[in-house]
Amino acid sequence: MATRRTFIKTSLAVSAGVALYGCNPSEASQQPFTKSERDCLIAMAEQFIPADEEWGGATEAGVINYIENWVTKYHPTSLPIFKNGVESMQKSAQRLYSKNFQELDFNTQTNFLKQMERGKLSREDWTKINQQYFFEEMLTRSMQGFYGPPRHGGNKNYMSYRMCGIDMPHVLGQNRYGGNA
Amino acid sequence: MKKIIFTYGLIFALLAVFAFAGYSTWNVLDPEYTCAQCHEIKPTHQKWKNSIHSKVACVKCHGTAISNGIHSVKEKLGMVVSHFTKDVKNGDIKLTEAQRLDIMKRCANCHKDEVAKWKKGAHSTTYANIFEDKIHNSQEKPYWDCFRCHGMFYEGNINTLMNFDSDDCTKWKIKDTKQCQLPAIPCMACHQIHSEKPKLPNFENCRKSKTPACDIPKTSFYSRADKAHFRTDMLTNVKRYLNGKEVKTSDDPSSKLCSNCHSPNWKREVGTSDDRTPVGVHEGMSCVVCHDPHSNSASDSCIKCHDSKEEKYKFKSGKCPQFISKK
Amino acid sequence: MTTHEKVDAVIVGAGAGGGCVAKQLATAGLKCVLLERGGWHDYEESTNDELINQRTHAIRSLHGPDVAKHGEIGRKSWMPLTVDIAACVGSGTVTYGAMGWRFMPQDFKLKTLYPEIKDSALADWPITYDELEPFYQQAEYEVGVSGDMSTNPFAPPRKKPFPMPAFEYNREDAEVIIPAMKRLGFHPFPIPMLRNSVKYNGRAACQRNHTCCGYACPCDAKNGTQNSVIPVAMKTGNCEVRTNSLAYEVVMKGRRAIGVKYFDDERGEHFQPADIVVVAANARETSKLLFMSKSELFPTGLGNQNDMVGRCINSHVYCGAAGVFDYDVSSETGPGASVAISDFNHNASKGIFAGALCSEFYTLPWARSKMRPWGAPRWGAEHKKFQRENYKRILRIVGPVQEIPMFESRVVLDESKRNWFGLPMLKESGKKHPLTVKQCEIMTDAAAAILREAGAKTVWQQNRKPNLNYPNAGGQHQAGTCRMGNDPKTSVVDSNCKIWGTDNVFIGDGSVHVSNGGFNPVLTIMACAFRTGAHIAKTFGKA
Repeated sequence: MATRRTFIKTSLAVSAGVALYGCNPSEASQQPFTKSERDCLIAMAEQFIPADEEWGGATEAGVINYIENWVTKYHPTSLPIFKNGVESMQKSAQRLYSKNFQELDFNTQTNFLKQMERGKLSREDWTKINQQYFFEEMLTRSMQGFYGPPRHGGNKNYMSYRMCGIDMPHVLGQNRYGGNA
Repeated sequence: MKKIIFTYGLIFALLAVFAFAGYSTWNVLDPEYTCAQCHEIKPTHQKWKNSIHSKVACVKCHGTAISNGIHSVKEKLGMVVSHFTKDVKNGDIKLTEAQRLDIMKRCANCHKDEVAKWKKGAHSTTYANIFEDKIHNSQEKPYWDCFRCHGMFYEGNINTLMNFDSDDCTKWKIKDTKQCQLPAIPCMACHQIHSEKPKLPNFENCRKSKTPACDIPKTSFYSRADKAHFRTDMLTNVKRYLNGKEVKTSDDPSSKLCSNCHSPNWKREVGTSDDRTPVGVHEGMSCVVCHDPHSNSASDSCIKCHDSKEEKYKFKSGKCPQFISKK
Repeated sequence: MTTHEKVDAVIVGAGAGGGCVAKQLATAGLKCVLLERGGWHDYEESTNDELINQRTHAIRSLHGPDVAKHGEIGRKSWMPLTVDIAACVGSGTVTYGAMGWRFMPQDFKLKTLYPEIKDSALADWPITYDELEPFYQQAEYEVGVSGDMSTNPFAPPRKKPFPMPAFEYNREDAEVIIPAMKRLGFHPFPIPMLRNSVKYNGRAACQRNHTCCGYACPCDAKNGTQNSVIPVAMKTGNCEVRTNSLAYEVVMKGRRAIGVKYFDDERGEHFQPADIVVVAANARETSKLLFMSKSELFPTGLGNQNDMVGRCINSHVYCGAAGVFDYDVSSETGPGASVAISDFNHNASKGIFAGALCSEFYTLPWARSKMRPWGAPRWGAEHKKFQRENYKRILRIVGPVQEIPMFESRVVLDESKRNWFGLPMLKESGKKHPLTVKQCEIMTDAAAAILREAGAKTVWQQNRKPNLNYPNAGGQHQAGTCRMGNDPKTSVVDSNCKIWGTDNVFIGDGSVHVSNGGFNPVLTIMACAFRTGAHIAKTFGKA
């Protein structure tokens, strides 16, 4: 395989003369979070909007895509909030359970977040950012990703719209026949 | 001197051969080794790999850098330039209307019947037919919402499409005459070429589960507002009413697709506006029981189920209309 | 600095007020330039997207000013103060909920009617309802209002009927809310709307879209200045709309203004000379422009010789109640708000002048995810279950409560904070009057009573006790910073909205409101602007 790829790339470089060789096959350039950070955020979002027997949760709806768009496209200055937040989360989780947040079982995660919501986690781990501030930030973004329109990355296949039973795209007939006219 | 010319000539010839070979190989190879090495189109490539069209090579629809002369060279070079100069994300990549119509021509290479039927039917209507309709325009000035169902791929707004300068509405014209004869409801209005492989519909399942994961329809609805396709089984089946009572409607994804444009008024009353929800003995039936999905013709619809030779209304043995909602 | 050709008038701000002034001047034959800091809005850009509209500002608002340029540099919050209002041709009238209310005659003489209210800046308007009535009528006809006040015994008198019939009630209002209101002795009536109930002014009738309040209209049936009076002004050939132009100084020569300086989108400086200057940039931005226009005669800002600019900012406190029913009560008919009661406007028995109560606009799932009874979980499985089960079961009744104007409620320049243009930001100060809070209590209780009477199983109140120590709200209904008056010492403009001490500078927006009525103020802004425009046309016109 490797030789074949090398051959193609060589032939390419010769033929096109364009430095396509420089293409980075990894998606690193557009990934704001490391895998561990990403998993932590996914686990948090899933806690906020968990899957149930009928409807998927934040993970299935792609809420993390929305958060990634938020920190890369919409408000790039907010990236440190998430980076520092996750770092502190993991410190707290390690202190309490010697595990990363995403590795905890579901109910432990829930209890952890309830503590965090009330600002009860150890202050020592939250020196760079206020735990309640990060909690609220992540809660808002998760809700936006799940319940907002799919064009921003989340709400895959209109999941929350279908769950609420609303028609988006809006089903409306041609106006000229309707209305009061 | 001759030697030098010969040497350079040879090198040049070899380069040319390499270039040609390289380029041809590039075009026929699985894009995993070529285009999709670059991150922008990875998700698209992944979708295509899982799609019904995974056996159709990219170049068959998208063409090569030289298949359309200087135009495609320019287009492809543009991609290379933006790859290196901009932070392009998969979500940012959108086909232009011209590109979509170009691809549509290639649909016809394989789907001859469907395209022929579409041409016969009303959905092959043009921009001129829709937006220069004098009767419509005398009733109402065209606005953005028209694009929801007609000209959904148009790049611009109603004021860039139309010239409304005249006070006489019969003189409202499309500014660019080239736009006039373009189809206003092309293939991609209802189909996503990279959509998942359809699975045979099992509507019993559909009704039991609110997230019918097992049944994947052939159709997708293009939402202009979202600039994206959505699987038609994911559309909401809105409640419709007749004389204040709710009417049974089909859960068939095709039917939900139709009713996104053939929709009732805001009170959701059956038969108003463009709504054609069947009622009476045909209540709950899907549109496609009677209508051909491409020509929209319903000419043979009765004899599909009713035996015309025998008694009136008697069903052909063993035949039963599909997609009847049993709610 | 690019100097443009001199015109008769330059108008700053192409919103509700500026558009109407422009139309009056252009049709009277005055050449004018209408400066707008935003651009022409294109529905294509924002569509029905819940996260990028004026309703939620969740990511940003595509109808508002570019936060990166107009917001404070380095500010972390996504919705910086002073940019929560719209910025495009038509401004708020592109995306508003479009309630087209007239104020009541009593709203123009609050001081006389309520002499006992202490520690407030309540004052009578220098004009009466009767003087403004013809211009209310002009606004109703030229912009377009649908309505019918026959069932509202408190309705202000009118000389001509509405140009369009009222909208029908939504099913839930007709079947559930209105009977409950009547049982409680209230007098429900259809909300007057700046939307076409029938084809009007060459544009379509309303389609009953979900996404109306906070969103632009996909069928152009919502009437703003951008699709009514501004096109009329442009068609005369006398009015040029200059977009992406941010005014930063009214240039004065003694008592006369000689033009306006503004930035283009690239921070390029321009000067537009003119014989008349009309400022209609909204209550906050107008005062900011006046503060920045310092001259020999006006060293602390234009019109600020008596320290009155920016004072008495007032708006509305939106309060009310929400109720959950045990069946799918909502018909999901857009825009959602259809019925109102006016029983609490100038309610003598309760000693308040409060405001109207209306059924509330339809909201999409994200906004709904924050709508929970007190104490209900804000996240997790329970939260999701509530959303799934009750999306179609929640009704709300809310209304705009008049804030009592206060001298201390004020906006001033904050020179320490700058935006991309290098212009200072605004800061606000002051607190609310206790009567504002009392009115909110009475109104929320009434809203809750209606919902309970209508059969709601769980009812909770919203904004029952707004914080007394917070400044008056501002927000989208902001008004009052350059109040109108007969005494130059206690007001900024005279009864024709000309700034005291100047010969040719007028104000054409909600800043001139002495008080802001118990209703959405847009029709009053339009009426005042038409009146000011008519006065300018008469005084300076060539016809």
